[in-house]
Amino acid sequence: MHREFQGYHGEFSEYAPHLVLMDIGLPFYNGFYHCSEIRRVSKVPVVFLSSASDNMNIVMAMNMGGDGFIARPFDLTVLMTKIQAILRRTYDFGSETTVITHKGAMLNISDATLTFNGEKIDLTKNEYRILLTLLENKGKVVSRDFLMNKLWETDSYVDENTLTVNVSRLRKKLEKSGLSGFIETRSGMGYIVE
Amino acid sequence: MTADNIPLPRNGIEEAYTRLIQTLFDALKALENQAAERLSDMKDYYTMWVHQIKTPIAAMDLVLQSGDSPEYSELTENLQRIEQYADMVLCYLRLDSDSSDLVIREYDLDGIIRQAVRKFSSQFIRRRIMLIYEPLNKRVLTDEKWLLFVIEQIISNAVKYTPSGAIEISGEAPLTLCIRDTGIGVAAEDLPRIFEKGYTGCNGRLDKKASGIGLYLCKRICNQLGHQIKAESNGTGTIIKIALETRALEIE
Repeated sequence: MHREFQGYHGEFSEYAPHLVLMDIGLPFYNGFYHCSEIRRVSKVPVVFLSSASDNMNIVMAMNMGGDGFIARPFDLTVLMTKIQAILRRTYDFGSETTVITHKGAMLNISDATLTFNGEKIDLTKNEYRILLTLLENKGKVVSRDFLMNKLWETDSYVDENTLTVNVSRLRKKLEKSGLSGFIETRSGMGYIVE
Repeated sequence: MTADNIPLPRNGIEEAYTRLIQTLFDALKALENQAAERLSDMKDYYTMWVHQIKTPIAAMDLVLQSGDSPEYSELTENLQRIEQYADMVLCYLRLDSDSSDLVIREYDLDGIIRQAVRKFSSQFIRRRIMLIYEPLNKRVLTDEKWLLFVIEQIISNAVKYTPSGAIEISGEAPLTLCIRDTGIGVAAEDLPRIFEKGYTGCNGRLDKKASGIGLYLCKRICNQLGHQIKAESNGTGTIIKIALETRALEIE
């Protein structure tokens, strides 16, 4: 893409590329910056192109969330093969982490549903997001601020009270379906699922 | 200014004067070119500087995202401020350049607002400031990245100067964006001057952190985009209004 490219949340998400090939030296911000911006909104594979193949650049590229690195001058065939390998890896075997289970409850990420004992439990957008975050951090205490930031990322601008209400509603739903004590409170620190 | 309109010399003295004028004129031109080149060099240097500094900022941000503690949150917030100041430098440099890089298109206003809000969400949460915002469902004719800069600047000020309470983003007919806060407000005597370059007013001076450049940039940008920006304050907060409607050109 040759166009001037500075806004990520709108344009990038709309375009939704399957792979990003990026030069480290770009007109407005350098490639590392672009990559970390992309990583904020997407897990799409990013392959860096660079004319300097020293180790620091490779390390930097990976740390910024890059998935691959090709130094110039590169062979076009080599590049195509590399891209194909990454696409295969990303999209054929991507079905592995679409479900998180805990204590018999199954959270399906691809359709945002919760199932327990064969019964589907309806979750609101916020409740789903809270449960997902807690399960993704199973065994660790998740602070209320962290949860609020996660909700704000989905454009749900909750404040402290709303968060408390959402968590308690979620708990009630879990209890009603037979999952009591699923989410524990660590007073002064946050919530935990363990 | 040119030396083309000097009448032809009719005698020796006039010839001498003409030569003198020409010499002065050439010297002036040379100085102007020199100054322009120096300015251009400086702009290039600072533009490159801003891009360079974005790299360690991005790297630090990544590291901070891997943890969750009060220290990490405070560091992240300060890092965001650093990045904002760097962005302001870029904006300042590009505003002054003669070439206009405006890309005017129709945009969904909410999309732009959401980008701005997302940038400050961690600050809202950390400072316990409530955000009141319902989608406005309006389309505007503007330059996305410039309008985004303006909205970010206003939200940044609102968050900075609102110790507690709420910030409300709403719309007024026909197409005015209102950002209202319950913060310390702007003194009546400062109100007509807050968009002036370098003006910090009572609150800024007390704070000693304001540069007086933020709102100045907003006003310059709004002028270029054909939007009107104004501020109101009554002691219980501040409201910044940006009129985004387009007026039909009258073609005669």
